[in-house]
Amino acid sequence: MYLNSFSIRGFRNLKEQRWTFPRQTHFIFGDNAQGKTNLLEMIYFLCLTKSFRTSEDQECLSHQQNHFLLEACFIDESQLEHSLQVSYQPGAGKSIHLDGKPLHRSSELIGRFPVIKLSQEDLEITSGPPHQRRRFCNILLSQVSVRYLGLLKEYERIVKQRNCILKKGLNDRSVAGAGVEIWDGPLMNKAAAISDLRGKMVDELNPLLQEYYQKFTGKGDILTLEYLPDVAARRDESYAAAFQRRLNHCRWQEYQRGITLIGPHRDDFKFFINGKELRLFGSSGEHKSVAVCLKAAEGVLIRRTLDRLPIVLLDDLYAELDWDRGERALHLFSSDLQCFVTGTSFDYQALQPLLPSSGQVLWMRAGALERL
Amino acid sequence: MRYYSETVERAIHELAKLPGIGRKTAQRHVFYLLKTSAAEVDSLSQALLDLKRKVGYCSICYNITEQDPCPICRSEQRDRSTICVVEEANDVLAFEKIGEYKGLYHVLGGALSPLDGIGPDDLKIRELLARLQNDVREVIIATNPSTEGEATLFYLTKLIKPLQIKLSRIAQGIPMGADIEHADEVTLSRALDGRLPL
Repeated sequence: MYLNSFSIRGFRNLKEQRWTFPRQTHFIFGDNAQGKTNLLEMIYFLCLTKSFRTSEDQECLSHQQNHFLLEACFIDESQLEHSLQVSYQPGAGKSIHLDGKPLHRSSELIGRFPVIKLSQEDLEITSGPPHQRRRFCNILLSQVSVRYLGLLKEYERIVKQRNCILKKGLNDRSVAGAGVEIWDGPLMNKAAAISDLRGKMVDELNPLLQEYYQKFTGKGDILTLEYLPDVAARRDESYAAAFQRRLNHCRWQEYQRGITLIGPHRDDFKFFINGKELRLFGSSGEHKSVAVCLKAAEGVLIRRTLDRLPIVLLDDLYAELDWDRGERALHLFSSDLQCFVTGTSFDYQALQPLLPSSGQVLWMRAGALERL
Repeated sequence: MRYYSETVERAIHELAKLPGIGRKTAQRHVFYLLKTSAAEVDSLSQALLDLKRKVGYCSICYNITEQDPCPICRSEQRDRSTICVVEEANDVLAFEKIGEYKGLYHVLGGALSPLDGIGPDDLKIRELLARLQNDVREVIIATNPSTEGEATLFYLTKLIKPLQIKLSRIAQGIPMGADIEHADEVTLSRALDGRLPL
């Protein structure tokens, strides 16, 4: 899949413009605050109908505009064109048209135009709190498995129902936990399926991460990812039994705090370089390097399961990396993928001789793209 | 916009309370009623009045009925050893349309949903368990395939399983006459999970 053309109106600081892109790597350089990230955000918005910076669509609206309109033409692996139109108006909300037909749910679009993005926020995957790692896992699995997205939604609904009972107990001690065990079974069922898919994802990611990290750093360092499920079965114990054991153990605490304390919504993942935990010992360069490898591996997973080529967005790729790694980063992404890479004007001066001749260099100035 | 006739305004206001009817639709209905003959409007209002006066719940299965017990529970033709458990009275209607099921029903009156304030005591579950004491050999659970319907199913299973009664749930998956290619992914993956050995 690649983005063949787009037109923008009213999105962030981007000027009204129309561009056509060949399928190659596009480097977008520019000074700070000119709209480089906004452009990548716009492409991401087209693919997933939401931003990676905010959950409020309104924030993407340009000042003094009453709506934004994004139009794009994607070309898939069979050379078929797909037109996509996403518009937003405060009050009226978002409307999405695919090939001229309205889509009722934005989730219908997930996985259709697979996208991978690397931005400043992604450094939080390895350095931030556990929910950042779960978020990464959820976005990746939702893109490659419809079943996962459905499971996750049902699971979250069950947790909400269950928490409602637990919360009631906080206000009135006499009813603490009455009926909560009804929801234990459904909770466990979905938890088992989610945990299983997450474990499989980690197993599939690991060999890729190892290979890419060594390619990227040019050293023999070994990167591993470990899945730390909140509920882990002991030897000779079923998941259901382990879940029940944990539930019994935490029952009182759940009543005390009024929330569900067990399940995949409390899972975590750990990254290790040569056995040392990255979150505790990693330098900012190492965090960035792992993030790049993680995204490259994500690309392979999407390709394998969907048989579609994702679009790659790499925001401020060269920050935190030495020139050498910066140049090598792109090699991790297969050359048949369409990549959009942004960097500062300073990066451009240093990188100019290193940029591959196959790429196109563009300049972002005050919200408008220009050819160099 | 408000109408100068208070009576018209009140009729619109009342109609707009119904599910699926907004103010505009209510207005259209009211103007239609104004044009219809008095006899027809009388007949409609009588039907509405009778709803509340004559229709109640069956004291056995909690289906809606005008006579207690309801015709299904009274019928000699029905198999009294089988009970199909559904969420709402509408669901009984759906099953009766196929005309193949010959057992009895039990209407729960909803599904478990703490967010809507519905717990086990708000459903006719205790009443169901009492019925199971009398020579019932099979229970079929037909709750909706929603999160809440599934939780209700789970709960009922836990209660009924120890009673040594044959217990089953209705199948889930692709509707008849539908093409597999048109089924949404969640339905299809559920159908795959619930596949039957041949």
